[in-house]
Amino acid sequence: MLGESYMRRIGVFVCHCGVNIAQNVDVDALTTYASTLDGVVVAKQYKYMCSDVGATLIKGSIKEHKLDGVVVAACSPRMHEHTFREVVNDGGVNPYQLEIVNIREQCSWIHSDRKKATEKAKFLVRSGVAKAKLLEPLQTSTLKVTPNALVIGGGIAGIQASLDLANDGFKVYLVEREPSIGGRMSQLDKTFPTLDCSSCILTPKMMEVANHQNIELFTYAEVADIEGSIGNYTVKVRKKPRYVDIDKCTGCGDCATACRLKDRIASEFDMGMGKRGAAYMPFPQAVPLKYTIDAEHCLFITRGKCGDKPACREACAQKAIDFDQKEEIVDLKVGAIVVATGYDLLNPESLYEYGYANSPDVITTLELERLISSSGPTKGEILRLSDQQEPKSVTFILCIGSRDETQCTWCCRIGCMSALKHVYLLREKLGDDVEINVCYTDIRSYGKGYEEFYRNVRGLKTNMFRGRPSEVCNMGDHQKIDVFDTTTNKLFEIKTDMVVLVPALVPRADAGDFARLLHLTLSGDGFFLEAHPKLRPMDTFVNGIFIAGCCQGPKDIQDTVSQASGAASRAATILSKEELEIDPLIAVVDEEVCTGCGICVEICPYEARILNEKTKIAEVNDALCTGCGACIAACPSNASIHRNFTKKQLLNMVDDII
Amino acid sequence: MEPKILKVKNGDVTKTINEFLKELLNSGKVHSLLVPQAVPSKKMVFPVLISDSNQLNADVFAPLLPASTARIISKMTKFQATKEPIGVVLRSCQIRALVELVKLNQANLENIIIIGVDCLGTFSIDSFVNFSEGKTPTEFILEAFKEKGNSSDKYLRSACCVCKDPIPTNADITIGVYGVDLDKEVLIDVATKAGEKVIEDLKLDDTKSVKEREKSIKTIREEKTKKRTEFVKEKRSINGIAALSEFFDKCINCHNCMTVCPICYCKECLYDSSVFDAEAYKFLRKADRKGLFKMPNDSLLFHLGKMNHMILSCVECGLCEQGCPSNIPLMDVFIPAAENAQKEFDYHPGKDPEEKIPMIVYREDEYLEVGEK
Repeated sequence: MLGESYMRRIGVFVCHCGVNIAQNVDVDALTTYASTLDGVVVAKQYKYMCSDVGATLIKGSIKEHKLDGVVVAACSPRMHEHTFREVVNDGGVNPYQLEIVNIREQCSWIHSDRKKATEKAKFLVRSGVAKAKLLEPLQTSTLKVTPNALVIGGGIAGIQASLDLANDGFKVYLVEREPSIGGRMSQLDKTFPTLDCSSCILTPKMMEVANHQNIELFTYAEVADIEGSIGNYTVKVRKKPRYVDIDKCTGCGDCATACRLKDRIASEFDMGMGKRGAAYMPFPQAVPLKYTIDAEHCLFITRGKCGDKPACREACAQKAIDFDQKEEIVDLKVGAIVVATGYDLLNPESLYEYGYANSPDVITTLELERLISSSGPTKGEILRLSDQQEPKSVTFILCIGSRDETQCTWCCRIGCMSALKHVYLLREKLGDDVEINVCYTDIRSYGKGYEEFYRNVRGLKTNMFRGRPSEVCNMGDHQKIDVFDTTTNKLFEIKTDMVVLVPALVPRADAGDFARLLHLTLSGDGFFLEAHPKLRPMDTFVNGIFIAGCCQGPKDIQDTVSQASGAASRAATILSKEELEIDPLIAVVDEEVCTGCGICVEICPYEARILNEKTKIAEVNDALCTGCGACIAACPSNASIHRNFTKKQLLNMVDDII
Repeated sequence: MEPKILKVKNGDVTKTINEFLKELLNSGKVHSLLVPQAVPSKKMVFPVLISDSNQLNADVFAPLLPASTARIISKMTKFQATKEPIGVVLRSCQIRALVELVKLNQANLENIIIIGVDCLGTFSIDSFVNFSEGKTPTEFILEAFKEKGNSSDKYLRSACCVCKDPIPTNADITIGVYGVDLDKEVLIDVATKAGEKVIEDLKLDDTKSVKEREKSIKTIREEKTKKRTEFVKEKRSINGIAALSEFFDKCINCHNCMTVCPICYCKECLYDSSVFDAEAYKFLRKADRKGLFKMPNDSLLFHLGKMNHMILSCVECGLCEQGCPSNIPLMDVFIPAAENAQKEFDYHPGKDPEEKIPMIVYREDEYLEVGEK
């Protein structure tokens, strides 16, 4: 190998990047210097090497100088490595015999001394040439794609992604852990800023999911395990027993009426304010329109006895109630996955100063949604929970736990707008005499039509206090709030009948476990991390798995739906291909050297490693390996090799600059 | 199972143990035994694999560790567990090494019966071969032990002087001498079901009390710990590039320390490969830059690399030091480094086969940002 490196014909191409590089690096001197390096037969420079002209320059030089390796000194390989691989490939050099030297992010942008920056650029180029001399030509391999998609989570994000993919002609499995799809949006009354009725716009989409020939719906089910890789995942879905045969159930509701626990269990859908039975449907527009028996409460399941005979079973004319149902595991084969698992709301009890735990008249926005909703526990009447009276005064407190160093540092992005929406609706329902106060940090009305909505609401006799209350005190028949308003620099004491807290949006409680199951990465806030915040916002670091909606971070319905369509489109990019190319820049095992200790198997974050028990040699699953390099660093024997990042190549880079 | 004893006949401990081992072999409960036994020249004692009890003449207390027994078991079992049971007689450091090798998938303990021996320490090969106290080294060390004197200390290898723990852990059966009146008896302590099965047909006497042994073990462990602490304190000064370069001055780059190490398990060492070969111009440039530099140029890098790979599993057997032809006192750096590194990861090599090696364990506090507490 060493002998061959003397024979290499390397071309070096220095990019000015306009003035981005040229103003801090002497590109003339750098190009001249590059031409003197061992193995380099030509060095050229151009203002924008990534342009067509630059590409032509590289391709022409490859031909003219019979190059067998190319070094491009330009921006980060994350920007244009792919571009230049195509260029050298077109020119006739193996695309993996290209080395990018980053003299922009790692040099010109971060130094101000032109002379020293030029010297550093020379070192970087010398090191890049040293590696280029040892780069090996690599070939991509291919694998067949299963043209089915899995969508996890049946909220508006999952619904939108499923419909898009199904309409593209792909088979979609939609898995939802609750008895019905619909998610958080189904709990909302109206949506800002247009005040559309939430269920009026959501229900048609839910019905479309239910009736779509390409969508297979798994409700009351969870993803239990996942194997395989992009193009070919095998997913185990655990279907929880709902003790109702959904093929027989007509959704008539006789079971719920008969249930001995009717109206005795707090309804999750109504935020615990309404009641349901053990045989129940979460809300009237549920999809599927099927009943479920809550195993946690059902007398027959928990105690083995429900009167003489289970009342629901007796009541069901369809004989759909089946207490012998068992948990079932279904294997699904899919090529791509969209994760849309949504969010939780911060429990305001963790901020005791706001008194959520002290009074039933301190509620959250989601609870108010249910109170306002005509299908909610009060049939749309706004009543205090303590005395069932209409409040004469309502106070909203925004940013409960949001933008708070001790709780959630981030902005929930929907709090301001949802509070303003409620102000509008309350004014509409309760009339002009009701006092409405809003304690805010900043009003963030950034979306289309949001600012206009805000101005509108301010005009509705709304008292706006810019400040976070220090305390909410339960005075029995009313709540007392101390708030320092930073626009008037005055301390106010507000006496109010009802307090509505706008809590932070937080990751699902089990987001961490779920991330481990799918090998996703979490960002610092605990939401799923996208592969790039700007350029790959729906991708994850696991190829073939995409994220949409609030599981990636707080966002409103508009953004959620856009992102869901985006994620569906990203998934379709994979599913629409018969075969996928596999990047050859991944790990391989030197079988002669591997001792079979298995450290790489334990350490691989992507389960791309297995130990062959017969040969006692570790193997790499090419489709799963992302080339992250963890196994390379961990292998004490140097048997784990990252193609074109071998120890020899890297040492050569270092050796050449010290 | 309650500890048993072997009654010592005519004051000959070695013979008594040999009779026990012979019975074991003849009972058919083990197919073979791996025991330390004198080679025909009688000069050296090496591990031998014996299936014929007539040829058994083990010297389990011979104060010599010529090669890693753990490594030998690795070679025999790595690719396939033995189908026939093998009894292996091991010192505590070699059991620790074996446990580490099992964790690294380099040995398989199925059907391996570990017979641990209370270790009285070992001599350097030179001291052992040229022993001139008018008796065999085994007789000498047993007498010194019975007299509770320290006459054998001067012959002990430095690793043995500051041994982590001379009492075997993780043995199926332990041949115990600490806290035992060797003129009368030898202790047979059985700790596992596999061990019980092996000796169930043998007629062994029950012991009256193990209190004396427990006391004695506590004392020896305290003594060794004290010595080790002092040793670590004293040797910590060998620190930093300059001191380490000087320490390894005598290294001839033979890599023997690596070859004899029971843990170092790579098939081919990176430092034996051609990875560090390079074009002459690179060497010349380095020469230009520094004016001169020592060749071969990778010897310190080799030692640091080896340390980096092995230090967490280092069982402090001292075979590297014994194997060094230049007599570099390697334990002077390895023991303090092992102490530091193992403490940092709260890792105890060889103690518990279920304890995972730190390389594959994630701890939440490892994710802290720099400066974060």
